[in-house]
Amino acid sequence: MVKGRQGQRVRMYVRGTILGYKRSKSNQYEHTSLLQIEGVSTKEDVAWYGGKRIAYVYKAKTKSDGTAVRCIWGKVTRPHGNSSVVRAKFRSNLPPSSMGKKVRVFMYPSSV
Amino acid sequence: MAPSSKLSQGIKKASRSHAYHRRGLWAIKAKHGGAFPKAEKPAAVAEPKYYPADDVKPRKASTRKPKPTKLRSSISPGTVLIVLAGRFMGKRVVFLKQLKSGLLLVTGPFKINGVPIRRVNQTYVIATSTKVDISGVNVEKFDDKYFAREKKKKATKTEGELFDTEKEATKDLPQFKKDDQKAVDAELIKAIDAVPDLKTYLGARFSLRDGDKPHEMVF
Repeated sequence: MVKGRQGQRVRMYVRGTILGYKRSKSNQYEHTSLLQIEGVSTKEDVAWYGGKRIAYVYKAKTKSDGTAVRCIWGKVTRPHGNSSVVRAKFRSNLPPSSMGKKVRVFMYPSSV
Repeated sequence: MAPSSKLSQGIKKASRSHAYHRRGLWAIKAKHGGAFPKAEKPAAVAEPKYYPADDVKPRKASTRKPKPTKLRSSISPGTVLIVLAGRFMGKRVVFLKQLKSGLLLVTGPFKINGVPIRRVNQTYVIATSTKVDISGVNVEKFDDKYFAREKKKKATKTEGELFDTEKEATKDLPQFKKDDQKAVDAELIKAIDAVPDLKTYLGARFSLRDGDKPHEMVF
């Protein structure tokens, strides 16, 4: 958010939930996270989101760059499985505390 | 010239005189008045004083020319676009033309939604099916150089003045840019007023609401 933005707030992203890391029964691979995107229920729907940028936004105790809000950027890489779950990779791996938290899936890079 | 066949290593099948005749060297000699034409030796290059330490092949300059960015089929001059990110995210904006750099030239119009004549990347934009009649607008003069940043002039070094010049760095839009905006928008606004509701449409911002599914939307 631009500092001092007044007026209408628009949501230009789709909400998603972080389910956890890519994993098998007893091994997990933290470099890839799994996401559930709101409103998506089938594998075909998920294809639209391929490559879209994601931001995991969180608050920290200390201020950096004037704000306590921080962000980890990433992108949707591919669908995961036969339902609407999606794999995502971030610039740095998501922290385990992110599981169950919300993520912003943007509509760019757009091909519409 | 066909290679002369060998009987064995170092032993040719044709004798020296036979080969001479076969190669037609006599004809070449006759053509040049009885002697072989001698190629001119290139002027002897002065031996360089230093040789490079390693024998390195000079790299060939790349002959690759990047292709111009392909414009999406859904985008044509006059299309209303939704800006997805940046200062003007959610704004609906009119597409004017594609610049040489591949960026899209776009305007609000400024009076309607506050978006000036601006460049936008294709991937940060959703094309809608709404079109505005753009035939009256002249966009010839706009190119990438129009949007280039003004080079900062070097500041004087005295301590006091250093702080002063920082303040001067924030500059107003030059008047010619404001005039260009008005000129482009004047025609556009006429075309927009002609269509019912289009003005309010362009003035409204796009936003996702609860239950909205962009992957199912038809823009």
